[in-house]
This record gives sequence, C-alpha cells and structure tokens, in this order.
Amino acid sequence: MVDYITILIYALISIVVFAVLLSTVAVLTLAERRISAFMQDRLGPNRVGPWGLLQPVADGIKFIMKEDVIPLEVNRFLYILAPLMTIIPAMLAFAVVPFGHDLFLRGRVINLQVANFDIGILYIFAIAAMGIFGIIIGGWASNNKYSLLGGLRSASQFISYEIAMSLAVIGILMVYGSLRLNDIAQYQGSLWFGFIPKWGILVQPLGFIIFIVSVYAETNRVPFDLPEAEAELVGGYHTEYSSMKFAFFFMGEYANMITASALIATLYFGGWQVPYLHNIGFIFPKLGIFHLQQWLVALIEILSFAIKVGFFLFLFLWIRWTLPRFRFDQLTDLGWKVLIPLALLNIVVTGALMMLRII
Amino acid sequence: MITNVLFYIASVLLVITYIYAVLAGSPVYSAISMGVAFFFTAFLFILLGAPFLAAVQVIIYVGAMLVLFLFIIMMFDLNKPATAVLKYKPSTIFSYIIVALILLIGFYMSRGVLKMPEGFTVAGFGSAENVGFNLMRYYLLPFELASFVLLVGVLGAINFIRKGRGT
Repeated sequence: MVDYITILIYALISIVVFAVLLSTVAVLTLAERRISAFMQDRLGPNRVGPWGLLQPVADGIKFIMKEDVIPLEVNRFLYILAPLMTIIPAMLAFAVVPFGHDLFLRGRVINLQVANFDIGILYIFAIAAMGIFGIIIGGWASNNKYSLLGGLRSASQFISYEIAMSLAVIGILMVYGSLRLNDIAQYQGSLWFGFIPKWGILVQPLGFIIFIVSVYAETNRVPFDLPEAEAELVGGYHTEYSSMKFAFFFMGEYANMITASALIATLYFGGWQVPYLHNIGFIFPKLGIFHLQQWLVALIEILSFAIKVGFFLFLFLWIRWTLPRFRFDQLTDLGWKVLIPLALLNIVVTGALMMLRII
Repeated sequence: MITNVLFYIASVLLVITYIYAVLAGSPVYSAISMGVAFFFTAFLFILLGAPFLAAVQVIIYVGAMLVLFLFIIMMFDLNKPATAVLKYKPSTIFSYIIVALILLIGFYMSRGVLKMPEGFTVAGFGSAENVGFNLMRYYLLPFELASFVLLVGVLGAINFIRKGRGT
C-alpha cells in the first residue's frame, strides 16, 4: 500500500526547497554586489526596486534577452552540454540537507528534508564529483587556451581538496557515527558534561578549519578562484560563454555556495539545532522545562538553520572581498602538504579521544 | 517487475557506453562515455540494494579517476595518434611486491576466508553499516592487504617521478 499523502508531502517539500534555493541564488547575486560595494565604500546597484531588490529580476531578463553566441570553432555538443552539467548537480546536492526536527503528523513521521538517504553525506560528495565535469568539459569544448587552462586548474584543484575535505568529514562521522545528515544534526543536540551542546565545532575544531578551507577551494571561491582568475585567464572556463549559458555557470557556483554553507552549518554548527531546544520545547538542565507547540519548535529550528546558513554565505562574500588570491603552486602545496597531513592527524587524535571516552 | 525492466535498460546502455568508450575517435569522447558508463554501473548497484557501493563508485571512479583521465587527455594533445608510449622499464622490486600481494590475496580467497557469511542476502545488506561491519569483521586482512598494494603503487609512482629529476 503506497502512502500517497506522504508522497504528496515530500513532493511539496521538494518544490518549496527548490524554489527557496533558486530565490536564494537570485538574492545572493545581489548581496554579493551590494556587500562588495559597502566594503569598498560604494553604493552598489540600488536603482531597481527598493534597495535594488529587483536587480536580480532585471539581470535575469537581460540574460534571457541577450544574443546567445556560439563561437565557430567550439565542439558544439559538449559546449552546450557543459553549463547543464554544472547547474543540474548544483541543484541536486541540497536534497539531503535537513532543516528541521522530524515532524509527527497523525501517525506519519515527516523528515524536514527532501530525501533522507542512507548514504547521506556521500551523496553530496558524489554529486559534487559530477558537478566538476561541467567546468572541465566547458573549458575544453570552448577551444580557447584560457578556457582550457581554467578547466585544468579546476580539475587539479578539485582532486587536491576533495581528499582533505573527505578526511575532515571522517572525524565528524567517527564522533556522531552516522552518514545521515539528519542523524548528525540530531546528535549535536546532546549535551557534553551536562550543559554544553555537543556541536561539531567544539568536538572537531581542527576538522572544521580543514573542512572550511577545502570547501572554499571546492566551490572555486576566493582565495581559491584560480579557475576563473580574471587577471591571468580572462574569464577562465566561461570565457567563451554568453547569455543564459553563462548564467547557468554563475547560478551553479552560487547554488554550490549555498549547499556548502548548509553543509558547514549542519556538520559543525548543529544544523537546525537551537541549544536546549527539543521537540517538546526548551529543556534547561537544572532549570526546568519550557513547553512549546510542535509547529513553533519547527519554525524556530528552520529559522535557526536559515540564520546559520545566511551567516556562512555572508562569510563567503566577506572573505572574497577581503583576501587576495593564492598563486597556483601555493594552492596545491596547501592542499597536499598541509591540509591532508593535518586531516590525518585529526583522525588519529579523534580516535584517541574517543578511546579515552572524552568525546 | 519494474526493477527488472530498469535493470535490462541500464545494462544495455552500460554495454553500449563502454563499447563507445573503446570505439570513439576522440579520447575526450571516450573518457566522457566511460563516465556515463560508471553512472550506469552505480545505478545497477542501487537496483541491487547497495547504495553505499553506488556512492563510492561515483565518488572514486567519476570524481577521482575520470577527472585525472580528462586532466591528462587535455594536458597532452592526444588527438595525434599515440605511438610513443612508456619507454622506461617498471621498477622490478615494486612490481614483484605487487604480484606477490595479489597472489597472497588469491591464496586467501581459495582458502575460503573470502566466502560469503551467513545472511548475505538479508534486507539492507548493502547499507553503509553492513559494508563497514563486514569489512572490519570478516575481511580485515584482505582489506589491509589491498590498502598495502595501493601504498606500494603510490611509492612506485613517486619513484618514477623522482628518477626523471636525476636524484
């Protein structure tokens, strides 16, 4: 017997998540320009709508109306395929991120996430592995030296930092003992020494630093945006792309940033957890219980998740407009000679601490 | 029923993409076709109820190997026919060690250490928990031996690179 209502609820959740993801991408393009403007003592785009809020709409119309140039010498099939190979995985990766406690509705348990896979975080890694091909193939198919170099840089950067990122996450998996992001978020609500929430940042401080650095490299953001270093490579892998195809690369990058921020929040900052908030309300150790309705708890948790993700998105922009870019040999050195040994050390130390029953 | 249909569709496409990977004129098309074939393999794993293997298949083969392949293909202009390949002889010691380890694994397989444990076909046997449990419980020695083979491979590769520098 197929439970159609449950299917309907999850279909609704996935539509809402997709819509929120796309509109966050739109707002983020505006936020990037406004925040960079404020950091450089400018105003930024503020003409379209109140505070420039309609600027993304204007940009979108512009992208669609522009002439779509396909250069003569490109490999047409792969050239057209590449932007799609970037944006589709970027949109898919968010599916396993949980944004709230399980809800109990008339005997049904509803996870507040699109899909609660058994493999959880491995799904995100697999999807991220797919996403890199759009950039590599786009760089190659453009038949342009700058694009090709951008694609190659992207490939080597991805391989170097994926290892460090996975090794950093292994520390988290050891502590919380599950691949499901929902379980990981759930366990971070448990208390350490009776009063400290057991968030990932407290249990895995070194792992957090390795993870956040690798994630910045994986999303090709400053200080690791070598694949599109405009001073050396014109536009990098998307030099030859125009109109909506360029927009797909652009949106893919922002969607990846959102997933990365959600991942940082979920793995290291408790995900949707608010300290001391359980599904019946706030439970303060030694102080008593403060009851809340289920829907109110869910609302607070979604809000808490949104605030955390918003902060890390701001951090992405903040770092972009504060730090200069790495040189390429510095970047590979940092990945292979610093982050990977540190990540291995982190695993050993975590294992030792777990044997001593400290974490 | 629907699983069977999906299995046959995926299998046919898998074979077609692998054949295309061999026959394609351009090495880039070969590599991409192989990537698609890896996805169909992962899909077969999902149909068999082994999502962990499917994820690992995509992460390792697509995320690491195929990226490296494309990297190499794009670095060298392989559109010219490849005639001059591998002028050096493999370092004998490393290849002997690898062969010895492979033989050792084969020996253990024939001894029945690698035989399937009871309850192999129960639901959820391909889940991450089960794979990890079995690897660490029943297959620890072969698992460690395999990782040792990889380590030897890494050392061999580093050795080849260092030779070229005259050290």
